Amino acid sequence: MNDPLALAAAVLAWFGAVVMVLSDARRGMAVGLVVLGSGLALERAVAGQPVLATVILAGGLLAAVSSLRGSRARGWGLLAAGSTPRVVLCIVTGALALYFARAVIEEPADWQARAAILAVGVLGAARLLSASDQRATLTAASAVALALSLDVALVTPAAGLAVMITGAIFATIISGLPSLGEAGADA
Amino acid sequence: MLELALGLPAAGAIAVSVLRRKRGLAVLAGLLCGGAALAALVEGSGRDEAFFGIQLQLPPPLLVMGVATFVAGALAVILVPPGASRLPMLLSVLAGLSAVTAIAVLVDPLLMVLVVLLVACGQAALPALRPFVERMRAPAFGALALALGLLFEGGVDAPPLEKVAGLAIVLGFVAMVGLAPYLQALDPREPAPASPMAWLAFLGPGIAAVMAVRVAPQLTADAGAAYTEVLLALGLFNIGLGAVGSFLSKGAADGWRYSLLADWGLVLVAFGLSTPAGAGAAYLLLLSILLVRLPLYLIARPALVRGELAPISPWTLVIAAGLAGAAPFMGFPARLLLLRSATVLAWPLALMLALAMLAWLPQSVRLARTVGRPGRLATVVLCLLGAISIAIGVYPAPLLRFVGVG
Repeated sequence: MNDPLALAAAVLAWFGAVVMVLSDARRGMAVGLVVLGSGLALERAVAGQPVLATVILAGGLLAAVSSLRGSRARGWGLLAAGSTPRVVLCIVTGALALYFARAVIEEPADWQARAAILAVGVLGAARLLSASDQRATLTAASAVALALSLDVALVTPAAGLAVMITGAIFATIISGLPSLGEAGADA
Repeated sequence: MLELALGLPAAGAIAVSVLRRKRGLAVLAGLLCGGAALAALVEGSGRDEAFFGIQLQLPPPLLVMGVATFVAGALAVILVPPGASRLPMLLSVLAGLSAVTAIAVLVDPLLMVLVVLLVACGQAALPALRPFVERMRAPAFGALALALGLLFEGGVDAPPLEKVAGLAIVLGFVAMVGLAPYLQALDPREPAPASPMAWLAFLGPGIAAVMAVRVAPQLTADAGAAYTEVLLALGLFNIGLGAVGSFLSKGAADGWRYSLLADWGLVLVAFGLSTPAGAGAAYLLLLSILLVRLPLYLIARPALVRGELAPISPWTLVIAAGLAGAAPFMGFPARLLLLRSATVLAWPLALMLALAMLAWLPQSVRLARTVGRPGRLATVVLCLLGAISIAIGVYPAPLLRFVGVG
């Protein structure tokens, strides 16, 4: 499938992940989640799976809302000082995701879907393992949960909807986990 | 039925959380849900089920680990230190049981990765002494590495990447459990559900059994070779670190951590040998971690916080024997099976394992001294566990036959 709309959806998913990775505050991270969720959803809608697309979109939106509620760092927090390595990471990951999706990985689904899943998954994983802030970590984990569940849904079409609903619920729960300060801990 | 086994503990955890002001009702709801989930687990084992298309299955080794985890969870609730409320522990145990059951029954390993990711985030969000990121990083890395390995293994037809897949899978497994080189600090002041013990001694055995039953047999030749070789190497590394670390450690808590590490090293080597006897040894060792080490650590935790060491008594020596895997406890046949299996592969490996096992004997006495002379309830629990451990230790054949390695 060489639908330009599918490619645009993959780029949108990558861009959402980029916004999430480059942001250090709640609005940026939440918008990143919404955009990456929209990209993944659009890709599935173009592929003719509107129900799955709706679930992904809902998952991204709910995760973003619960992320907003759980965070105290206000504003966008985009491109803070010292974020150059993250910018490089985003560009390299986007290019590598395209290469791997087209030339190396053969399954599941079409290459645009694989590129979107790889871009969101890898950028989310990188943020998850490198962030020192709890909220950024949880938002990244939420993005990984969405990408991973979409991958499983594509591999096992019979269980696709159930898996995607589970993934969307997991993403929302992870985003909504209270920060340690709010849980009254750190003792 | 299996969906009930994983849903009921989660429902129980929610019920305990909602009813926490009515303590008796909350405990009753939690116990009912836990008991019903255990019954559903046993009833649903051996069948292929589907829940909205998601494949569920519980082969015998995973049933044994699941039941043992339920027993260990019940003991964790019973063995809450005097004066502390049982509700937080009951809540954590039910949530943990739901996770372990999900890990055990979900046929697709990528779904297990999702569950582990959720548990890693949830556990790291519990109040504790160490920072969130430090507690979350190892299991999250493990889940991500496993996902990467499974994706490469399933969707790529290139031998070099298949080897990378095998490597990523084994590193993911080790990181999820929290073994070296992804070791976490163990502070006995931290509540057990928020400490690395939750992974090492409660969730870990289930994950290890799933890796052996579901993931390893499906690897391609290249990925499988990389998996077993690195598993053996990491097992030996953990055994060595456990032996050296326990001698050099100053605090008794570190001694507990290193002793668990050493046991896990044996488990990794046993699975890495890829023989029925090795697998049998690994399952017995995992049971020993769940049913001996975890309860003993929970009993010892208050003394570890106070820094007390009880004098050596006959009671201490019995506990030390159980910890060291001496006859007639269940650790003994596990070690015998492991040595037999290692001898077939390479006798220097068996010699090294035997030396490491002997080296832990004095450390076991030190750990047993932290348990001291437990209270009445703990004594009853220990006697019961001792009886189970001796029964399996004296006659392990039925259990090994049941899990398919006898």
